[in-house]
Amino acid sequence: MSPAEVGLIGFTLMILFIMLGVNVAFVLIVLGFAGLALLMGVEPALSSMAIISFERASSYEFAVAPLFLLMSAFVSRSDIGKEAYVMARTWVGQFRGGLAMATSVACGLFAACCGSSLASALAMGKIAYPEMKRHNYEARLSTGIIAAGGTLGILIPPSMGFILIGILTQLSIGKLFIAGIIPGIIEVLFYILTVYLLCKLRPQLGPPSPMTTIRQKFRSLKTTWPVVLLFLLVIGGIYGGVFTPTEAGGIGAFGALVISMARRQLTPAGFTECLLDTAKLSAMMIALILGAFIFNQFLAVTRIPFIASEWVTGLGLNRYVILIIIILMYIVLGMLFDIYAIMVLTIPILFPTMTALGFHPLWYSVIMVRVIEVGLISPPFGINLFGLSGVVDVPMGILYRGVVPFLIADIVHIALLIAVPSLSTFLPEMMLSK
Amino acid sequence: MPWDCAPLAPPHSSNWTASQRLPHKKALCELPRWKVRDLLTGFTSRFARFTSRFARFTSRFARFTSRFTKCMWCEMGWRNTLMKLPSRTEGGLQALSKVMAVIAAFVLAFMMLLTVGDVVGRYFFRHPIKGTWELVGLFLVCAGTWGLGYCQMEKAHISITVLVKRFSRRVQAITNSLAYLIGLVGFSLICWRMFLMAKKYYFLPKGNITDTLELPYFPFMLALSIGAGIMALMLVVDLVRSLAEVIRK
Repeated sequence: MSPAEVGLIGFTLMILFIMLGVNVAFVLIVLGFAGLALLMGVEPALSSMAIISFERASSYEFAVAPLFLLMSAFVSRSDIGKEAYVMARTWVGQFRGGLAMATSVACGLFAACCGSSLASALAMGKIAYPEMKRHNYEARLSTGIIAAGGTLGILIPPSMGFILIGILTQLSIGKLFIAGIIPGIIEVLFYILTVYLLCKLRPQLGPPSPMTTIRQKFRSLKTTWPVVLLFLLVIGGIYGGVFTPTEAGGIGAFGALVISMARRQLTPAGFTECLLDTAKLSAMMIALILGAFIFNQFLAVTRIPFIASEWVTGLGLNRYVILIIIILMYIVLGMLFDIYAIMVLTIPILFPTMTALGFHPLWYSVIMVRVIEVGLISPPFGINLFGLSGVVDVPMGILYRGVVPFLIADIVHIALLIAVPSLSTFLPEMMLSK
Repeated sequence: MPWDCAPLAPPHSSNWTASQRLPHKKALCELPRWKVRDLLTGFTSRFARFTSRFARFTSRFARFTSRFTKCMWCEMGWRNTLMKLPSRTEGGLQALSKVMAVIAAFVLAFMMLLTVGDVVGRYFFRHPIKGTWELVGLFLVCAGTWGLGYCQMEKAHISITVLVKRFSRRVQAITNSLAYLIGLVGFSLICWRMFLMAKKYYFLPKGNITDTLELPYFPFMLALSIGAGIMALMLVVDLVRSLAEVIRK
């Protein structure tokens, strides 16, 4: 058998095992090892596996993931999301559909401290849904905006998706973070616009709440400014080259800890629980990373990424046609798979192909994250929808229907990002650091 | 005159007596005999008290355990006693993996403090903490991998269950056993090879220390090996459990 054939068999087996419910990390480690053993001999495969494991498990760059996970854990545990929601509500609550708009803004703010999509959606579901229900919002609108807004978590930095892309492709994690800022803000604006249009068409979807005075508006800022300051510190520090993303993660986690401790929202028991949760999640990430790198080593030996990119560039298709095919594939994958699993499985092959086609790596990363997000909220399997249905007392059918307008907004947003690549690449190119 | 000059100290020792050297502690031979006897009896009595307490404790413990095992042996028979063994081992392993996850969590908190301290020291005191870069990387081994067992215990490793959820419970148990078997192979290989690598680095004459802090690598390799090992043990437990579910009917 030629190496490429072995690689293809390995890839097919991997998909088969994963569909059978075998944990992704286990499959990657064992199949990667088996492939290496077939191609290089058992002893070299064993020792290269050990070397890869230690190298990856002790790399400074990877420390960024547990530290930002820790920050997310502290933020989810404290009342930061609730305060962001209250702030947004006092500012835009008096408009028609104002609470839904406020949810989208609060999701954006929460995402600025939290790197996970599902966690954002769950937190906002617990905070914003009861409030919207109390103000007679239709469940369609309220659950739709919560599910859609949750996906901001992995676009606005800090984002676990970008961290994983950075680790897997050797792109600068700092630049990836910065690249997500403008698309994230535009996404919030798109959601606000969608809510506005929906409520214009059907005013009964979201009745306005009573007016608030200017004084109340400024008073509501009092609770939110530390979070905004923390975000500016973390992202500004990365942007200005003051510290590395790993240091930013440490500072972010420490800042979130200090903010929530100072307000007495985090007890010592809660603190330990956050730490334990983070240890669990970072073990999950590290197993995935080890598997990904062992499997990548195997793929590199088989030269499949190279062959694939040569094949695709040799097709002679317009590169945007290929992009659209890949986007559709990602949406389908996003319905079925977890975002981390999708990235680990597809990046090693698709990323070199797309850069070979001449796409900007940062821009492509933003598009990829954005498209997987769409998969996360698209019926019938969207993971965010399932998670949300556990928090709110709404049947799945309403969740499915509610999310459709936001899916349309998402597609327009993606089209905008594809049409104007500088939206994603402008800020990182202005960065002071390398 | 010979009697004018001070007598020379004997060559084999200093001319200071034990009592002068340590004024608060007199040598045993310098004490009066009654005091020596008193001290010795005090010591022996203390020793006797300790041994008796120890004996009492062990006997109580033995009685307690014997009652327990006797009961187990009499009422359940040796077959059932053996059957109980896995669940006890499982409980112990779960406790162990949780303890290791807690250790990992606190190492993580320490990493956070270290990076913050480094940045603050660098910009406000012009004195960064030396070797933070290395330490964070090396601690990551512990913080990342010691939680593996706990992660498995909570079934938090990513898997795609959309398809499998539709199967019957028995088929699910079969696929689960397959998953645990695959994971067991992978992590026990990693555990074994990391242990060998740690051994190699321990005996390596040069190049087995980090650049800045000159820390040896092998303890961290051992840590990775232990982390992967607890993961493998947890997988054995899960494998046995899911196999039992396959065989049950």
